[in-house]
Amino acid sequence: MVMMLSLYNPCQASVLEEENQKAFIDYLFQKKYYSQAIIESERLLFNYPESRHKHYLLILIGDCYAFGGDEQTAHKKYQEFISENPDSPLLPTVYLRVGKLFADSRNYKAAISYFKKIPTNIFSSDNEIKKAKTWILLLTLLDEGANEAKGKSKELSLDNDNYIQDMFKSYDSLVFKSPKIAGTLSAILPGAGQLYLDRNRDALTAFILNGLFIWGIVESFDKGNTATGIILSVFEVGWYGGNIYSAVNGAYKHNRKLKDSFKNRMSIQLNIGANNATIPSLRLVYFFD
Amino acid sequence: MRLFLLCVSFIFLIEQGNYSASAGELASFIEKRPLVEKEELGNGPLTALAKGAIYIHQNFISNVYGVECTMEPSCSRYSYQAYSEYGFFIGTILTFDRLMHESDERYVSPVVFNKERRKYLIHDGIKNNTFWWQK
Repeated sequence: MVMMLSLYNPCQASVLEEENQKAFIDYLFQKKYYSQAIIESERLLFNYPESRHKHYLLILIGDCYAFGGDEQTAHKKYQEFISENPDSPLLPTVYLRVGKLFADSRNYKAAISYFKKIPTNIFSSDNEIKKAKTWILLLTLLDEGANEAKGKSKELSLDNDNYIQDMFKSYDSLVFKSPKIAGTLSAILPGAGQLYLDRNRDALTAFILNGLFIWGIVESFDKGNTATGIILSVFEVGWYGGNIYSAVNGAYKHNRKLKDSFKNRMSIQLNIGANNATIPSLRLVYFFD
Repeated sequence: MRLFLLCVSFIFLIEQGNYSASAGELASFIEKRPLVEKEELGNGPLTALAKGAIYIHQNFISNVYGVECTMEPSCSRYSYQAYSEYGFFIGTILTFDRLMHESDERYVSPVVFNKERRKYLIHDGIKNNTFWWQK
């Protein structure tokens, strides 16, 4: 009996239990059971407040919210992590995540500010630094245009990188529509701007509505129906203004869609997910001053 | 047809406005409307009139024909929000723009599932059409 008791090691059992729970959380995350993964992570952190997986799990909780579609809570969780663990070796990967969330919500300036923090952090790996730099270039390209981004690529020493070269080539091949041209065309002939944007049915709607109302106005005044003419004119002002606004708005939406799909295509190789978070480990960093 | 009825109801409301309704009476009339969540009146009598037309459309026309709009929010709700947020002039432009860009919108805006109406609709809120001039 005494011998059997001596074989029992409660510490080892605890560690095993913790590892099992962590493995189960990873399984849940991979299966996309995000709400369960959050609950299990909270359970593990409650049972083992000093767990060596603590930082990993806090980030994973944020990831669960982000992948589950609750970006606001994900933001909150990541920000909490940054403020509560300023010395964490996983901080660069959290900066990447926050930057990606801002990039997804088209807040490029805020995203760039987070990506810029990564190269300055001593825990950042080469891979993370390159990802951050590439994100900065991609977002500069989308926000400020090709010239600015090409200038910045030299600053970041990435102007000879093949991936960056491909990115610039791919961006140059995008066909953007000019809001000014669309608006002017629609002002000259209702529907022409929409036709320029390949919105054929919208063009037909704008042309017919404006045409009918203008015809009605002309007929009304011709036949002495001044009141009807005035009422139709009031509506025609709305149709005409709406037609121009619709063309300009459509051009901006077209460009936004092109940029979004370009960003999504490019960011596949810059994928930022839970798999990037590694378990904290000892690193040796040299500084040459 | 619905557009025509909306225009008629607008004219009807203008006529009504000439005879009786003051801005305050119209405000109390519109405040009873059940379909729009955000209750904001103001921006002058023209905005109140436009909102009154939307009220008539929602309560007397749409109730009979049913909601057929393929977008979310529906055109009348969108219009009401536009008038509430931007006043008469921009609200009118946004409303007419919305009525004209319904056909090809699915190519540039996301499609979402609406639980209330139990079908997929094109998500085209106010911000989707003002993002380029209002940050």
